[in-house]
Formats: sequence, C-alpha cells, structure tokens
Amino acid sequence: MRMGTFRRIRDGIGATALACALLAGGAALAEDKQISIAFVSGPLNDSFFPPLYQGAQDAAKALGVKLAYIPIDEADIEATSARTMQTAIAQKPDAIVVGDFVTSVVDPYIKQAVAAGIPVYVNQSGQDQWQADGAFGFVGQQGPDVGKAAAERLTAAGSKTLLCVINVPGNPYLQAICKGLAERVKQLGAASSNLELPTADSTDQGKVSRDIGAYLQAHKDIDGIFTENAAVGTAAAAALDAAQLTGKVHVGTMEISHVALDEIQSGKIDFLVNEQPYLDGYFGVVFAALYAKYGLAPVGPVATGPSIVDKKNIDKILKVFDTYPNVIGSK
Amino acid sequence: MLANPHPNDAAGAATAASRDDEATQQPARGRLSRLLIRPEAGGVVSAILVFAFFAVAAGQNGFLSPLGTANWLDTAADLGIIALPIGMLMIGGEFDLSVGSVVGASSMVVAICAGYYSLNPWIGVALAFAIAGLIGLANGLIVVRTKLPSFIVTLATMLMVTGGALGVAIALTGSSSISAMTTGSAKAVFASDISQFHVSIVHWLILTAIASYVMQKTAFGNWVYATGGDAQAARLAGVPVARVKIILYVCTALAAALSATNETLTFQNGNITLGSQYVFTGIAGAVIGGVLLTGGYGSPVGTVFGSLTYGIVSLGVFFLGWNADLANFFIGLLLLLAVLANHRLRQLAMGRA
Repeated sequence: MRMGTFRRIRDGIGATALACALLAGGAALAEDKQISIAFVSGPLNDSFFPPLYQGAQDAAKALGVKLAYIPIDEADIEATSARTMQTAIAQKPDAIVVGDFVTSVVDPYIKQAVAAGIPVYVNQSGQDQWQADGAFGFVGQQGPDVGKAAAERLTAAGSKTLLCVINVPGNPYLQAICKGLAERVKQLGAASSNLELPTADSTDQGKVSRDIGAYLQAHKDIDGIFTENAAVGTAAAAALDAAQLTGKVHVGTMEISHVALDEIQSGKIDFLVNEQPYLDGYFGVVFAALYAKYGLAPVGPVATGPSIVDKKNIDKILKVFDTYPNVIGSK
Repeated sequence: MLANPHPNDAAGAATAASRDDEATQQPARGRLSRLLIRPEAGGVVSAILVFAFFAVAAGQNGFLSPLGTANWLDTAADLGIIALPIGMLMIGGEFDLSVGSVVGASSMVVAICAGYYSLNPWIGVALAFAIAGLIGLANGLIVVRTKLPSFIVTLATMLMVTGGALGVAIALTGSSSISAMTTGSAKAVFASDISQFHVSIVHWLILTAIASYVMQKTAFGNWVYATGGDAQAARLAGVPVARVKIILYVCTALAAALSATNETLTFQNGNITLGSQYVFTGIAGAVIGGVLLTGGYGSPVGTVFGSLTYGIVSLGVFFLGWNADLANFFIGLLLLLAVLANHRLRQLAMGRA
C-alpha cells in the first residue's frame, strides 16, 4: 500500500496539443548531442510510482534521451528530498524534472539549479510554487480537485453522509483531497467526515478492512466512502461485503489496481480516480527534453487528472491494463 | 511447521538445566499468587480487562456481534501467527526484526507467481515458504556463527530482504504491488471465511496448540527455555544451543510466509510493504503476553492473550466510533503496564525461590 503520495496539480490546458508537439520533436532530438535529464521523484515501493517511472523510461527511449531516475525515501522525506536534488544538480544534466513534495526543502534547490543554468520542470507536487521558484512549467493533478470530483460522483449516486479515509496520517496531499471533498459536499447539501487510519495499519489490508468495518458499525448513517488508494478502496469494499452493505454504501477510490477494476465490474466499487501517473513521467521527460533542446514548453500548468474510471469506460482501461504492464497500474 | 523435538538427544541432561523458572519456583502461598506468577498471567488479565471495557463501552455498536467479534479475532489471529514464534524466539533469547520484511517479500513471491505469471497458486505458496525458510536459516546461521547481537543482524537482514525483494520484483514485473487472483484449494486453505471468521484463526489455534505442546512437553521446549535463560549453562549441559536458535529463526520466517500468504490471497494483492508493522506489534504482542525481553521466560499461550489484547484494543477504538489517533496510545500504555507488571511478578516469583 502506498505510503507517500504527493501528487498534483491543476486544471489547465488541453493536453492534446502537446502530444502533437512531442511527436514532431522526437526524432530530431536523438540526432546531435544526447540530452541528459535527472528525474527526482518517488520510490518504486510506493505503488503510485512504477507507472510514473515507466512513463519516464518510455519517453526517454522514444526521444533518445539519457535519463537518471533518482528516488526519494518516503520514510525520511525531508533529508532525502534535499540529497536527491543535490545529486541531480551535481550531475549537471541538461534539465531536471522534480516532484516538489516538500516545498520548504526542495524550493531552494530548484532556485539553485535554475541559477546554475539547469532548467527545472516541476511535476506532481509544487503547483503553487513552481513559478516563484523559476521552473519553466508544471504537469500533474491538484489534490482538492480530486476530492471535488469524488464528492460530486458520490452525491450523484445518492450518498448523503460521506466518509473520507486518510491512510497516511499527516500527509498534506491526502488531507487536501479530503478537504476538497468536504467543501464540495457541503455545497451540495450533504455531510462528510474524515477517518484517519493508524500509521501501523496502512500496510495491512486486512486490518484496514476491519478498521473501516468497525467504524461503520459505530456510524450507521455513513452511506458513501472515498479512499485514497486502491488497496484501501478494495479493503473498504470487502468490509461492506462482510457487513452486507454492498450497494447501500457507495465506494470510490483513487488509484487503479486489477482487483479494483474487477470490483467496478461486479459493482462493489462505483468509480476509480485515475491519476494517470504514467503521464506525469512521460510528459515530464518530454517537456524537459524539448525545453533543453529548443526552449519550447507549454504555457501554464498541464493537468493529468482527475480522470474517472467507471462502468462506462472500464473495457478500454482493462484492456490496456492487461496488455501494457505499468502504464495504468501493475498487472 | 514446528521442528522435530529430537526426543532422543541428550534430553535428560538438557531437562536438568532447563525450565529454570518453573523448576526454581517454590510453591507460592495461595492459589491466586501461584496463578499470577505464571508467565501468561499478565496477558490474560490485560485481555480480560480490555475486553470488559470495550464490551461495555462499544457493545451497543456491534463490538459483540458476530461480525464485530470476527473483526477483532481476525486481527488477533493475524498478529498471533507472527507473535507466537517471535515469542518463542524471545524466550530463546533472540530477536527477529526481519519478520515484517519476510512477510512483504513472501507476499511478492506469492503474487508474482499466482498473479503476474498466472501459475498455480500452490507453486507461489511453496516458493514463498522455501525462500522464507532460507532467510530464516540465514538469520539463524549468522546469529550463531558471528555471535553478534540478533538485534543488529536481523536489522541488516530486514533491509536486505526488503531491498532484494523490491529489486527482483521491479526487474521481473516493474512494480511493487501486484494483483494475485485466487481460486480453488489454495483459496480454501488460506483465504476463506468460516461463517464470518477468517481461516487464519484456525491456523493460529493449530499453531498455538503445537507450540504449547512443544514448549511444555518436549526436550526441544526445554532447550528453548534453557537457551534463553543461560546459554552458557545450557551449552555445558549439552543443549544444542545453535541448533535451537536456527530452528526458531526458521519457524519465525515460515510463520511470516504463512501470514503473507493469508493476506495476499485474501485481498488478491501482493505488496512489498505488507507486514512492516510486525516489527513492533509482534514484539508488543509477545511482551504483553508475558515473554521476558531478556529471554528464558514466557509461554505460547501468553502470546495468544497478548495478541488478543492487541486485536481488541486496536479494533475497539473504531467500534467506539473514534478516530484511530488514540489506538496506538492505548497499545503503548498497555505495553508499558504489561512490562511493569511482568517485571514485578517475576521479582515476586524469584523472591520466593
């Protein structure tokens, strides 16, 4: 189950125009001096990041770019955020792509890199800081928007009392999502509350399922649940199944896993928020390479989510999931 | 999964040096004080107290309903399967901090075989147990050969197992979290429910019965107490101290593989971080259940009640309708009280010797 999870971003610009730009740029980039990119992001033991890593690799391969992926350690996030940026700057790459998870630590290094003549592209997190830091752009998804989308989906399904489950206590990004959900729910005339799971439980799906089941027995008015990763979402669905509440309590979750997709089909989960981490990695490398080479970049932030998966579009997602490992999620 | 007790090996000599606690405890004055100096007394008392508290405070919210009971019993069973061999290992005088990492690695092995490569789930299960057994063997061999503190050795192997498993998983599948669909006999054995109760409760009870028998009735059990009580004296008395420790490490790793298999096949998802909480809760369960940190003292039944206490408290706060913020506070408080109480009881017992 993922611990970290800092991602993000902003609604912005249509991404389609960009795709054209990169197709045109691809072949040319490989010809003269090879572009090198340092990519500072999350660790692969957090299930959010393997697709991001895959996207970065695929883009580097397609463009003939030399890619150094430098992961932080979520258990020691401040110190490793600093160290990874130091490493990236020391490598003197043509561009740096960075997930600005801990802005107070990372921002000075972004400024330092820019001052040293290395262009920086921010992805996933840092949507409020990237311009002030002197980065040339931002790609990702903004937390409150995810909460807002979830609130709208669940209330449209008929839920009146929502529960937002936070699986990593104290994580600002996950908190921001539940806050966005709470604000939108209020506007829609429904109620919501948060449930923070103990840190020790976050890796134990069985315990998470029973925690949620017990909490629901004490709060029988809850009729909608939103969770912030697929393992917690499927655990919530299992808790509802055990309590024979499937269908009476609606469930939505962030992240996509095969089990979660199966439960969309069986109706145990209503919808998944596809954060499209593959795009974070892919666009991160593509935009950094284009900027390093030509000085061209999209203007303003590029939004990669929230994109919703439900019964309407699951067939396509499921097919891609099974055909291409780590593009949407792990097989 | 428990070892052959080797009943013919120098059992007589070993027995003389073993079970120093029980052997040296003189009959206490009253029946109650005799009960209270048993190793499991602290665990039994704490389990009863927390059960009574939550039955009264959260009984209206379903704590006592069949589903509610299944909730905290399943939690106790998950921990109990780990705390049981951890407790025996601690009685034998050693720690194993790597147990959580073995759960995560085994989970990945099961999921990669059963999910990613769509093999028969039993192949993944067999491979997970084999790899876990080898990790346990390595832990044991390093500890007895180098004579380094097991705290450090297993801290090192914990990091190596987690890193190694992640590296292999990323190389093979590109991911650290893999779906594992289960059907058939493996599902029945590891992932089924009996009414609302998970099958892991059955595993837990069977393993506890075996462990209790081994610790109480066999030469191997005596050797474990002797090894943890005073390894030097045990060695002189002919106890194969090294072999005892190695077997205990292998048992701990196999229990980790069982726990991983249960969870992975039940939720159809393998994850490298699964089980990482057991580094702390495994030891907490054993200690609340009366196992002494310095070795030589404790019982399998005690760890059952230590695990029950953990299951009741950690689920009970949710039945109260609270957020979980306070659950760990209560677990920590109980741990402190248990250690204090066990320490006092131990002093009482030794004072009468």
